[in-house]
Parts: sequence; structure tokens; C-alpha cells
Amino acid sequence: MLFQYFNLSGVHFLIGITIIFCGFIILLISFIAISIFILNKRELNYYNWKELADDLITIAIFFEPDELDLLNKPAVEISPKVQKLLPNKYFRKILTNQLLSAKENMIGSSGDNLELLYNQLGLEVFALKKIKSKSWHKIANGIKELGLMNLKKYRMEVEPFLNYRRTLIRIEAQNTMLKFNGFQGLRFLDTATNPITEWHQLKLLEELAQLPPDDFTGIENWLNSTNDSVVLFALKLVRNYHLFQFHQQLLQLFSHQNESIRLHAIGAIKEIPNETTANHLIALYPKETLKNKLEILAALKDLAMEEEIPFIVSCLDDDFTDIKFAAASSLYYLKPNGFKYVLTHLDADKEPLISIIKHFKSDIK
Amino acid sequence: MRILIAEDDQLMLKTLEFRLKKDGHEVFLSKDGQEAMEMINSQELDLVISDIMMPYSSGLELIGFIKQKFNNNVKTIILSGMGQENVILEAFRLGATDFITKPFSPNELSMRINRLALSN
Amino acid sequence: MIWLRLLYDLVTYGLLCYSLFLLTGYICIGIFSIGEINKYLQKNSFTNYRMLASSNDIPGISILAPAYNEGANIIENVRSLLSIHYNNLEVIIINDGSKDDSIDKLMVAYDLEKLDYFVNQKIDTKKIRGIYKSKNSIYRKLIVVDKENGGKADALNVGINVSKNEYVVCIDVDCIIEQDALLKLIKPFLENTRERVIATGGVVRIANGCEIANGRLIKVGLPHDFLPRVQTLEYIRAFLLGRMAWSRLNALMLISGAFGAFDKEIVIECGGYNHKTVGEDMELVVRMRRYMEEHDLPYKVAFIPDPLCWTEAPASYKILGRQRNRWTRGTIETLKFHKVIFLNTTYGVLGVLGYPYWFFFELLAPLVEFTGIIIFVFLALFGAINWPYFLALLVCVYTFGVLYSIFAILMEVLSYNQYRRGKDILNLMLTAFLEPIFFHPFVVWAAVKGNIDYLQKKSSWGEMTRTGLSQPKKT
Repeated sequence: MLFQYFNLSGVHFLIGITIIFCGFIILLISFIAISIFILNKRELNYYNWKELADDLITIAIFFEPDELDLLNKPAVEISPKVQKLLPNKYFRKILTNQLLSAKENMIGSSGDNLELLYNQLGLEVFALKKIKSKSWHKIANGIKELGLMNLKKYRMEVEPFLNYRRTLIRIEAQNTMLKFNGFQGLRFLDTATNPITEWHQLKLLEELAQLPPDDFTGIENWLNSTNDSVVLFALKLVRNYHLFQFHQQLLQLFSHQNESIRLHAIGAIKEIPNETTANHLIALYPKETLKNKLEILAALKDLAMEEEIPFIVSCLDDDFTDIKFAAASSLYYLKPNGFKYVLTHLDADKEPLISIIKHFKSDIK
Repeated sequence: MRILIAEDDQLMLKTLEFRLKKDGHEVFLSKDGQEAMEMINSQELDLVISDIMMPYSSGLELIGFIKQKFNNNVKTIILSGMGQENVILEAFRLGATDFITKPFSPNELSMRINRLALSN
Repeated sequence: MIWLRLLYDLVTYGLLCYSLFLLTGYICIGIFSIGEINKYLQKNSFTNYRMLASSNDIPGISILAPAYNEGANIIENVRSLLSIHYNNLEVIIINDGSKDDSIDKLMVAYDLEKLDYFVNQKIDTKKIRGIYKSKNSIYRKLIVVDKENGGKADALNVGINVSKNEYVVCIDVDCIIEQDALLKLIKPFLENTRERVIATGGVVRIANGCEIANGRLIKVGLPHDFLPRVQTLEYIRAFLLGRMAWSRLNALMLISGAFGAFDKEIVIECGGYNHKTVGEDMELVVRMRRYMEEHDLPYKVAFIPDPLCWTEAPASYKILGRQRNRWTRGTIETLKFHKVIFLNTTYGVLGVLGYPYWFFFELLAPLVEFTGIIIFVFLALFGAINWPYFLALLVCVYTFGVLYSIFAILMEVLSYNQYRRGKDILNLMLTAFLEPIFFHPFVVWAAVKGNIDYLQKKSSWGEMTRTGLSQPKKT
């Protein structure tokens, strides 16, 4: 009896679920239909509106303000069609995006003109609205917009986000500060406790590349930071900008406990060498890991002189093939005599040295 | 001059066209590497301005090709956001006449082109 | 007849429970994927990938593309790989002892010359016949390796040995890769500091029905024929919902062999690809994960949902059957090699969720389904079927299958919306209704055959191991 009862209700149960599923299917299908309808309509407008925006921007880029007209603020002529569309949120989005992408590509008077157009259209109001929104990607976008358009007067609005807990917002805020304040905008590194990701570092370096390369302050503190990622970032600055004054400090980092920091210190010191650098690298070599040993040999490729030859030749005896290869490579670039030492090495007629010698003889770029 | 611009950003294309036409040049446009390659072969050009990152083939490939085919008769300017030393060196090695990194100033570009035109 | 009744109860309730179990699993996956895709899209909305391309400090990537008898299209395929946007790049084509004229074609098209290129054999492989580079500096990124035939895993291992860069991206040479693909694929490696990203997987989409010229995708379209079209739907479901959800849990076990990036140091540490399995792509990921778990190193396997890689799907039942058969064997082999992970809490989510999912959903599901059908027929012969109940269960499961597919289509429309024409989407939805009836039974059968083949081939595998092929380093 019980079994019968269960079976019946089992069927009902399944039918019930099936009906719910069917309901969901219908719901989702209508949702898909609506979405496609909206997307298609938007796409139809997209090309027209983009064209309109592009035309306006092109004119603005080459706008020449009438210098005799001191009474009126300089203004780009805006077609009635654009005026009419301006309240449309979607059009504004296209226009803003195009403006920002143009601004990213252009400097000089053309860049200034784009700022002018941006202000004239009153788009900053919407950027500020984005910053006050609840969704994080809107906030980040808003901050980026203020930075790109160089709206320094809103510095105070951006500042609270410098230590925001969401990384992506923090990155945009910091980059915007770099745009506003130049190199000083990096001072947040003095107190940064969170790791600065590789991606974040790339963005900062990219931003810095737009600034005049002077006014480097704070690097000496960052090289001593307890936050390893800050040290790594400082090392990149030293390397990219060839900051010779930090040679001594880089040598101190040779005894840092983080392998990666030592690796980057070796890579950076190669760019700011003096006559003692090669010696220091050789002194460090025996204490290093395989990866860093290879980095040292790679650095010696650029730095080594005749005096370093005995050391590099001794590396040819290492058990690791990678080290043999790196040593041979360093000697190959030590003109004119370096490579002779590989050719006359005791193992020169044994593998892998035979193949390594062949490799260099065929002069592969 | 007869100038070809190869650039996948429509807005940039439009901007450059506007400016160069105003300077009195004859301007051809292409939005990817393949179109550019076709025009280089079919039009008698004096100058090619090219981005590096484009669909189909990169600007570096374009200038390499131009150098091989026309030697120095067609000048080339790379206009790119890729301003790394190794990229610039490679561009010159492949035969680029000039290299301008983005963000750039359109006025400066126009000046450089006019100077090229004079030296011809 | 008590045993019949017992069997009946067992099947009825067993199947019901199993269905409910799978259902719950799929609902969870669906829900999980929503949040993850949304997060990714928002993040993407203000990521300037071009910035990566113009940076001095991006890590180097080596593309590894094994080719076996690909002569027909190899020139275009290599061209398209060379046009990928990435500054610090090396494109390594590994000719795996092709019997056609691939290598000659490449020699002519790219002006190649043979060089005494030194290769450190970090992973044991078959012999390299020669390494070629172009005399033309435009193609300086290209390296062509000619080697003795040894299968895909072996070819990839050669590529790993030859590569000079920190990361390797393994792809099928006949895939069409978007030019931005590497910039997007490399980003997860740069974004994490607390845990090391050991691999990033990408989406694979079906290229049948798309317009293609010179190794480039011109326009996306839905395939005309039923078979590729169902696979289009299948791939959307698997990648957009399945893998997305698993990556959120950091329990991704499979990165498609057609498109994935790996941290080379860890790959070498683990001994490279295992050439003793037909599922070398999945096996490597599982082995790398195991390595990290066993060494107690924090790590992550990331996933990028953008449609970046397009591949031709099998259009005939014969080839498709063979492919699925191989996938099944690969799964069995991988799961068997690493069975210690199963429900083992020392392996974290991998042991508690990732592995069991593969075991119950991917491996066991077809077998359970197949057994269910056999018993059903058997019971039907004895007249012991409660028809209303079985029909209700069947319809219910069918409806859920359709619902899940429709949900996947919705996600596709809302995220990447690759199939622009309304007609295409309509067709895709229609396919969702047809798939469980016309396609699914075939897939189940192919999987069952894979199991049978696996059991039969076991002895011959044994022979192969005795010939003294190098043992990959087991961790």
C-alpha cells in the first residue's frame, strides 16, 4: 500500500517539477527574445551615433580658438543633432568613450581641445555621478575619466578611494593621482601594506612613462620597504630610468631573503653598472639559487671584461646544462677573446658543449 | 604627397585624414594590414603611416615589405602606442623612416610629414 | 518475484536519486557561473589590453603548436599566429614527423634555414631532426622544429624544451586565435600575488559556419549542419557555464589542449606532458595541481571566458565518435593515475569537489544512463514497469536538459552575443530541444565504447610501458 502511495505521489512530484522547469524555459526564452531585440536596436544606433561622435571629436581636435574674442569662452560648435541626442544615456556613453579613447592617443593642443569639448558638453557631471554610484566598476570608470580629462579640481573626490578595499578601484584612484600630481602621486607606496600586483605595477609604470622623468623621490625608502612588492616596483623604476645613484642600495638587496627581489636586483644593477658591479655579482654567485645564478651569468654577458673570464670559464664545469649554456653565452659576447676559452675547454669535445659551441657558431639571433 | 594611413581605430583614421587633407596631401585609408598591403601594391604612394597592432598583419611586417619592394622610394612612419626600445629599434632595422609613439600630437606629425615632403 | 521487485525499487529510486544529484549539481554550476561571468565582464569593461602590448615589462610567451599532416593550411595558420599582438613572443611550430610536405612548404614560404640550435633536454622526448629559423627578419619570432613522430604530448614536450620564455601557450595549429588572445590569457598570471597562477585556460568555440579567410575569423555564424550545431551549443554550455563555475571554486581540472597557457617552470618541474595517455591536456593540469597541493604551495588555475579560440568541429558521426571515445579514455586514464585525490581532503576543493565531479558527472553518468536503459528494457520485458512513473521521470529530466541549455544560450546572449542574427539564436534554441533526443544517446554510446576500448586496450598499454620509454616524473 505504502509503495503504491509513494508511486503516485512520485509521479505527481515529477510532473510538478517538470511544470516548474517548463515555466522557467518559457521565462528564459522570452528574456532572450527581449535581450536580442534591445541589443539589435542598440547596434543599429551604435554605428550612426559613433559616426556622429567621431565627426564632432575630429572637428574639436583641430579647433582653433579665436584669440581676439576675449569676451566669450572658446567653444566648439555643436550640431543640433548632437544637442538633441545628448540627454540619451546610451549616446552619451558612446560619445564619452570615443572622447576618452581619443584623449588617450593625443597630446598637445589637440589633447587640450578634447578637454575643452568634454567640459563644454558638461560630461564631468556624469563622471562625478559614476563615482557616487554603488557598483564598483562604475566608480572605477568615473575615476579614470576624471584623470584622463585632467580635472584636478576634483582631487578631493578621488582621494578617499586611494586606500579603498577593492583593488581595481584603488588602482584607478592611484593612477589618477599620478596624472594630477606627477611623481608625488606615488607616495602611497610609503605606507602600502597590501601587495602591489604585477598588473598594478605595469599600470603605474605605463602612467609614469607619460610624465617627465624627473623628481624621483622616495625610491630609497621603497627599496627598504617591508612590503616586498614595493621593493620590486622600486627596482623596476631603477632599471627603467637608469638611476645610477642607487647602486649601493641594490648591492645591499643582494642579501635580501626573497629570491625574487634578489633576482630583480641583479637584473636592475645590470642597467646601472660601475667598475665594481661584476665583482659583486661574482661574489654573490655561489650563494644563489639556480634561477638567480642564470640571471647573474646573463648580467655578466653585458658587464664582463677580460678579468672575469676565469670565473665564467669555471661555470662551464657546472653540472647543470643551463649554466653551461649561459656561461658559454657570456663568453661568446665577451669579444674578442671570450669564446676561445669555450673552444679550448677540456670538455669541448663532449656533449653538451659540442652542441652549445655549434649553437653559437651558427650565430643565432 | 600620396599618403596611406593604416590604422584600425576609426576615430584616429578620421582625425589623421582630416588633418593631412587640410595640409594638401592626397590621403588613402585602410583599417587593417591586408587592405593596406593591397593599396601599397596598387597605388603609387609616397608615404605610409602605419600602426603596429592591426588585424591581419602588423605594421612592422608592412614596413619590412615596403622596404624590400620599394627600397627608399616609399617612406614609412610608424605611429604606435608600443614605444618600447626594442620595438622602436626593430622598426628602424626593418626600414622605418620615422617612429612616433602614442599619445602623439597631430600637429607634430603634420610637421614631420611636411619636412619629409621637402626633403624629397 | 521478490528479486524483480527489489531490482525495480533499486533502479527506480537509484535513478531518481542520481538524477536529483546531477540536477542539483548543474543548478549549482549555473548559479555559480552567473556571478563569475558578471564579475569578469565588469572588470573587462575598463581593462585596456593594449596597454599590456605596449609595456616593457610583460613576461615572454612561447606559443607551442604541434602539427601533424597539416600541410593543407599550415602556411596561413602560421601567418595568423605570427600576427598575434604580443611583443615578447616566440612562435614554435613542432612538425611531429608529418608524412606530408608541411616542412617543405614552411621552408619556402618563410625562407627558413636549418640552424644548430641548442636544446636542453629537460624533458625526455623523441629525437629532433632539425630546428629552423627564417632568414627574413620580419619572421624572427618563428621557430620551426622538425622531429620524429611521437604523438601530441611528445611534440609539446619538445616545444617546452626549445622554448626560451617563462610561459608557454599550447594550441592546436589549425585553431584560429584572436589577435588579442595572449594579452588576455597572460593577465591572470600578473594579477595574483598571494597564490601562484600555474595555468590559464581559454574558451574554445566552434568555427564551422563561420566565415574564415587567410587564417582569420571574418564573421561568426552558426553551423548549418545539425552535428556541428549541437556541438556549438555543447561548447557554450561547457565553457560559459561549466568551466566558469569551476574556476570560481578554483577546482578547474581541465584546460583544453586546443588553447591554454602554462607556467613553464612548474610544467618542467612536473615532468611535462605524459605521452602515455590520450588525455594529456587534462592529465597535465591535474598533475600540476597535485604537485602544488603536495608541496603546499598556494596556487590557482584561472580561466578566461572570452571567445578567443575557434576550432573546426567534427562533422561526421564517425569522427565525432572517435573523438568522444578518446576523451572518455583520457578521462579514465587521468582519473586512474590520480585516484588518490578522490574525496581526499588534503587536496582541498580538488579532492572534495573537482575530482568527484569528474568521476560522477563526466565518467559515471553515461555508464549509469546506459545501464539504466538496459535494465529498463529488461524490466519492460517482464512487464514490471510503472509506465506513468518512468514517463514522468523521463520528461522531467528532458525538460531540465533543455532548461539548462536555454540558460546557457541566455548567458551567451547577455555576455558575448556572438551569434548576432535572431535566426541563429532561434536555431540554437531549437537545437536545445532536439539535442537530448538525437544527439545525447550517441554521445552516451561513444562514451560507453570508450570504456570498453579502455578495458580491451589495457594489455597493449602494458606492453608499451615495458619497451623502456622514459617514465615521466611522478610527483
